[in-house]
Amino acid sequence: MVSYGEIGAIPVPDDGPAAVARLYRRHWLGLIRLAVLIVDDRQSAEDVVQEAFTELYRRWPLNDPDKALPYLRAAVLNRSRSVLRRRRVARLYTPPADRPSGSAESAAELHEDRREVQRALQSLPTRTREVLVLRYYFDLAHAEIAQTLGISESSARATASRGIAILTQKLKELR
Amino acid sequence: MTDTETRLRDYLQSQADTIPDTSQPPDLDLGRQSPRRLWPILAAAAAIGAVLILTVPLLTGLTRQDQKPADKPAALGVPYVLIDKEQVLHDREQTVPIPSDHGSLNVSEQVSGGWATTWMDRPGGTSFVGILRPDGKITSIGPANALGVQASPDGSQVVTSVPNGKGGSRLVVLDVATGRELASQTVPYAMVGLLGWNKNGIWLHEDYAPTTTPVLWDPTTGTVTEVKMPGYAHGLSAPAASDRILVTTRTGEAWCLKTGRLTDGKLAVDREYCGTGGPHNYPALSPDGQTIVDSARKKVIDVETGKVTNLRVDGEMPGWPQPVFEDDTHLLVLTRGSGDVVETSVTPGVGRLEPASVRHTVYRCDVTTGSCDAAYTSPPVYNLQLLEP
Repeated sequence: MVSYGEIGAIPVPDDGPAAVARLYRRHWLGLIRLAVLIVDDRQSAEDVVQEAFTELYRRWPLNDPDKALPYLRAAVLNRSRSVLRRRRVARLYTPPADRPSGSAESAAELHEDRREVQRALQSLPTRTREVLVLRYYFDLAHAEIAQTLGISESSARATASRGIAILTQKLKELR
Repeated sequence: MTDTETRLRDYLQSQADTIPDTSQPPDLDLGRQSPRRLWPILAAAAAIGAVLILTVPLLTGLTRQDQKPADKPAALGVPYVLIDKEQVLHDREQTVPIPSDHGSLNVSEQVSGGWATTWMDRPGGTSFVGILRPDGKITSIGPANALGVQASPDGSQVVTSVPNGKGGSRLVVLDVATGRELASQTVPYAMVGLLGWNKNGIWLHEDYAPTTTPVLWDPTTGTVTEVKMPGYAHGLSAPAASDRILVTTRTGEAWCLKTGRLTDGKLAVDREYCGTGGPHNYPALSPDGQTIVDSARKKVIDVETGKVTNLRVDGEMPGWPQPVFEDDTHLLVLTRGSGDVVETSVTPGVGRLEPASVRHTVYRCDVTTGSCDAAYTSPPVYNLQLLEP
């Protein structure tokens, strides 16, 4: 199981900026990884996470401090989705795996086997990809995925299950 | 774990590792100014903003309808949940705040005396089936570690599944009113996807299996039937009031949506609608089993005649979450586009458009003509979830 932050109760601070800064230090690494798994490049991921914390700050204090991490996850995913949507509109973005070798550290290090998985994953609908990342990297339960994405638990499970089936098929086709 | 799952985990881990554990976050920039210095500015700007908000409508005699939160419940024929910092369920005249003192809670569909939910007692904790009552209280029913819930056609019962940890799962039918266990059945699937409950019984399949097949369990007789279906692509819709189902099959890039009835353990197909490319794993069929929805292409297909009608709805019509039928001829479609992005903060001074909370527009489409009209636009929220009626 990969941890990306404690899910337990976060003390309610009096000072909004200090509380958000504390959350930032605690959850930045996990959230940046979540974003990079969706948007595929670090610069966009850092922007996405920065904006998520800015939004949290504007809304602070939350009614329930326990909801801070789910809120941040949802905000990161929402913004990652916007990044992907803007790329689709611009049609200018080249995924790291398709760039000439050496243009991105992550691409250079990817074994061909992983490149296939990356290509297959990129061909899935964004929502399916989000569910698979939350399920297979963060090991979230379907109910937690559902809450993060604002869908029903059965939809989360069905999407993950079907996503694996589609991924299997795509990987076969790439062979 | 399948080979695909192993490869996926390996890829995700390697990709995430491009951000090493030792990475240090850049300085937190909460709006390009020091937060402490920002407070007085924000307060002053908020005060100015408040004055403007109060005075401009008085001066102009006008308010912009599209900037007013739509806090009145929508006149939709199905329940829906507005998901924001808090979740609120709307079902016709009823508004039910969903309690938040739990790990997570997902509303599934309407049942007798409330709405079926799955909920966790704490984040990462134990999952249960619960009935959300109109007063906002949750009545937990059935065993712990329940996965998924599906209501019977009359809403008096629900079915859930409980993995037994030995590669199998126990299906359990519960009485909604009393929580009493009415029937159970063990199936050889580590995880079960509950797909629907119609006149034939309960439709399910094995989840997380690269290849699987639809399975029908009739809890009244205890009969379990595996319905052989080459190319079954993990998509099945079984409207409660019909005995007709819709399945998705796929061979390479070619997909088909097939409707039919179960005859001698096989699906007797009475309509096929096929194409190539694109995902097609979320089929939707009208309550009377007469209309197929092709969300990706914004088309509906009449099962009897094969007539294809274009749905005239603006924006992208996502296949997922699936559109929901309000009745036999009216389809509710949720669209979300860049035009829905709104500024969520009333605090001036930061001034960027924020895509996190958006207005979601629900369109009502007449599937006999293809005409669609906006039926409801939500206030800015993270998500709007339409539920089966």
